[in-house]
Amino acid sequence: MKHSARIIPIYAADTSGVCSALYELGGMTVVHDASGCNSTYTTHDEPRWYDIDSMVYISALTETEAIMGDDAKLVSDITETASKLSPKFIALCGAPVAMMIGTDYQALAIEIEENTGIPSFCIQTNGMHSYLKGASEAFEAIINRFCKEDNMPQKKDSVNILGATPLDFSVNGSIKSIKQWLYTEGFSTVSCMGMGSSLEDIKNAAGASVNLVISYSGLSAAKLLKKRFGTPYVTGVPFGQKFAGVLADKLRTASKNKENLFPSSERFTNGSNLSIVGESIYSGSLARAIELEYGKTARVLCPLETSTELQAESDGEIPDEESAEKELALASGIIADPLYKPICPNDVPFYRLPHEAFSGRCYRSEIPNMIKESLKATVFRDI
Amino acid sequence: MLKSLKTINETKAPEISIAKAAFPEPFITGLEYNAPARGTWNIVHTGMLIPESHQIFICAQGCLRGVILTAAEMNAMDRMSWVSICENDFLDASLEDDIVNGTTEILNKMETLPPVVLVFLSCVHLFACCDFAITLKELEKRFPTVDFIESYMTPTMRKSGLTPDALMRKQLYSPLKPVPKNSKSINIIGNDRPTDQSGRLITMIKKSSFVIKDITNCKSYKAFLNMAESAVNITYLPTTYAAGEELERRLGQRHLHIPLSYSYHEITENFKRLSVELDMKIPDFSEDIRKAEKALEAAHTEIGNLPITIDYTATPRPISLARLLTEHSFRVEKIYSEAFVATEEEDFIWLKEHAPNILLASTVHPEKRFLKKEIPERKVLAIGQKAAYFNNTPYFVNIVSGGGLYGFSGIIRLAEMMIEASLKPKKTKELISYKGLGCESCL
Amino acid sequence: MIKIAVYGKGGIGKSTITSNLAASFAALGKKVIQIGCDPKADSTTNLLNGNPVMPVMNYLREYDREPEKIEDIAKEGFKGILCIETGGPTPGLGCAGRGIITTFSLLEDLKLFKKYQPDVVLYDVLGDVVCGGFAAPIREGYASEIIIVTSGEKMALYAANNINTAVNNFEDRGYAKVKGIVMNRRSVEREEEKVTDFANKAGLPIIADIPRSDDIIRYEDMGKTVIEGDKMLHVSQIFLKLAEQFINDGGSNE
Repeated sequence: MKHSARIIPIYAADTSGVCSALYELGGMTVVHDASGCNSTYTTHDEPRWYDIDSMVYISALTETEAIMGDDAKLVSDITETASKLSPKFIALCGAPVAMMIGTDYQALAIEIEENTGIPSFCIQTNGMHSYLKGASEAFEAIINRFCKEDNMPQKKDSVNILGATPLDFSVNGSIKSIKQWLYTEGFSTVSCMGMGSSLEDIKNAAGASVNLVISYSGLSAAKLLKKRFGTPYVTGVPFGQKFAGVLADKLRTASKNKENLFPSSERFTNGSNLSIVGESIYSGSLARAIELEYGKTARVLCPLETSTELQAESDGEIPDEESAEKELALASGIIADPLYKPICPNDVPFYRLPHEAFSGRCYRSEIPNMIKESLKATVFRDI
Repeated sequence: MLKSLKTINETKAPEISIAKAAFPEPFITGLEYNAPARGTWNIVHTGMLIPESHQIFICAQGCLRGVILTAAEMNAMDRMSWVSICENDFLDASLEDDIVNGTTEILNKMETLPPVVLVFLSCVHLFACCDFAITLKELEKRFPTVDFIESYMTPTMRKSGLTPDALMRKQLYSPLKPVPKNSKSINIIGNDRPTDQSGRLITMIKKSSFVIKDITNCKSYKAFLNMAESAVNITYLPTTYAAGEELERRLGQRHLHIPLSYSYHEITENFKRLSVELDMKIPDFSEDIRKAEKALEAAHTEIGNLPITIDYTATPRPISLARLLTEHSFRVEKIYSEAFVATEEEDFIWLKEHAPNILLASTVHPEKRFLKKEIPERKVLAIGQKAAYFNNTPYFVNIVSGGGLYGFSGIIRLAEMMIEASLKPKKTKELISYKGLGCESCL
Repeated sequence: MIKIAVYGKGGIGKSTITSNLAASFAALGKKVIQIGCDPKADSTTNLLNGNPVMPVMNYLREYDREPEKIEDIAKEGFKGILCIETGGPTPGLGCAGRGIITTFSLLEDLKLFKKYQPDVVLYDVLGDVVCGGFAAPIREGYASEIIIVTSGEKMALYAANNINTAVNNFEDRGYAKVKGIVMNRRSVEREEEKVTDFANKAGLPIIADIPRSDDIIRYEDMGKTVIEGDKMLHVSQIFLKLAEQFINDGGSNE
């Protein structure tokens, strides 16, 4: 499949998703890559890099090592570093060349664990998918490896927040605000994957009575927790005062009835052609918040992986620049990352909503914290 | 002495005293950390030097992301396009077709065709053994008015043959075609920034009534192509040497490589060679040397015994610089670099003997992630962004790749910059976060 | 310069035929280089009396740096034939195809052809065109003529057909062209008929017919080609004649 763009950038890749999801958990993440994956991730995809230490490394694969399939060097380098730095776990993932030479990550993880005695696992990335896939699989791996087994009593009105990475939420206080909102709504937070929680918190994830999925990267984790512990999940980000209220009610209902709910995609579909471009749960929640606050409908155009339960009827998918341009041409107003502007019609209002996974740090300071805020007062005065 | 140097083994530690260090690579490489100092130029910045050029990267998503956002931060997304590749492209053998068809699609969408397009392939193309020459031939057939530059983003091959930086600089000049030579035109090639205009290098050339051409001053693609008429190419950075050799082979432009150095002797020898090339009388350099001495003395008066650290991003000759500073009683404490160019060997040996306690430090060693915090708070003067970062210091000289400084005047300017840096603290975190020092930035 | 790439199914006798052809050229006074492009690295062993040369990939692995001179990775064998093996990774690991390309570019850096000035270069290539790397020897600048070795066995003919198809796919690219088929007999029933039938369909001539020969095996056990062993043997004469044919047709003008 040929996928090209003349003018818009590309979303962060799976390797960045892995690193981002595991960043704060005290483990060591190694990307089997020559160079590039690390500077890209640490420059554009990881706002925490300068101020919060985390053991994210690359293997610094060379041509000769790739030709020879020299896995022994990778294993010994990881073993040696781990013995010095004592990470809580070792996660291994890889870039395209490592895939081409058929690197067997599973086998390497087993070997590394045998050498170090440190829990080790792999995430099958190849740098050819979006961050959502990498982050999803990283969260799943952490749950599989560390969540304590069944029979843990579930505490009433307690929540895991799933799918928190700076790639979708930046580091602008949004995640703290979500926890604060949960608290004022009478919920306690068991864990937040993967910002603001430790590996110890995540080990207790089975004790939550409901899971709040705030991005697509938390969805597969939610499904896994549902399967393993029966915990129901609710999708949505508490944007805007009104939707925050709805979402809190949905959490209570889901918790009580043990059913999954998708308020981020329960939207009216007729009328306005205000289009929001972005990750499906984030954008769906914003569309719902706008609907409740402004009485206007909005549709989500999703350029990333998504699933049908996360989409309202009128939503669309824009996997490439050409389809994005076509859909955006139909819009009456557009909320999107500023780097979409060049392919948007000129005569349509454009509302800037930077997305870290797309424009990186270009507009980081502009990324709003819309949690439980009046959108009219803070972000979109005149939609 | 040379012999004993060869018998020293590399170390697994993140730092080692120069007395015990191996040359040219003191450290055994393993996993690598990435320090958040972004000022060095990458292939996108360098490619953008060609006026009116457009870049097309054909890579996996992960590899595309960094280069595309480099362009985005430069506010140059209108000069950057991409084709992403996925697993299936390997299975259905469409990698080569995708280069041609993807590029065609992008160019067909453009309102006006650019005169020159840099087509970048990635490691996977080389591993899949794609025939780059054939694909470019096809593109040239489809777009006869466009010059295509065979360009590489192949970090896996970074230790095979030319470094990525040197390869990029070599490819950059590939559109230059043989034209009749203008004996009064001279190029300075391979640099990211113009050479200090007040320095001896420039004034000597101008005095001999030569016209100087430099890609950093070219306003149009035509002006860039006109560099082909110059009789001589001057290079002085190690990464530009291959470009000079290639142009000599291909266009018959004489290549004069006068390596950036901080040794009065080497600088003098370089200028003598330049004089011969310019057919001018060899100037007397004693006044230049006196001025340099005076500048270093003034710097030392101000800086005194302040610890100084230098990194390889500031200059490709950190060892030569460390020697100059040591010879002038400065207290050089640490040099950050994974490897040194061959021309550093003599000064390396000198420092082993005369300043054996200078530490050499890796910038990528996994433990460097945490070493930053172990440094006690004290005033340190850093030359270069990585040295500034690792020492957590606001007192630093913010230059990359020699900073366009050359010769005696370069030393004088550097001494002045050291004084400025030691007196006036900088916002290190902010300043070192800009990619490609000197490029436009949206941050 | 005559530059020939020899292809064929694994185990069909490519190395035997390449080495004997190399020995024949050398016996006819030509300066020859033989480059084995197979991770097994056993192409040139019968030119070296069984004392193998260090493959390029082994050199890289062992010394962790590129060779500085041709002698590091080449050895002179029978009548001064320069023997080189690309070698490759341990089976099941890495990327052998890229290994071939890397070796070629190393040889270029070492200015092999310029320094050695060969009259004939022979590339002995792994079994089939399995990935881009194994097609490298037929790219512009390397081989200009291809020999396909086959017997009358079904799988050998199948492989021969695949190779011919792959080469035809590159028709517009200025890559090497197939010179013809060398029939390496394996005592298959109606062998000649089957190979001729394939050759006719593919529009290719059979340029040599190598009989099944105990002499070949006997001399190989001694680490020799039949040319070195006994030039007067019938089978030796066939190789010599094939070499003469190439010389008479002339190589590319480089």
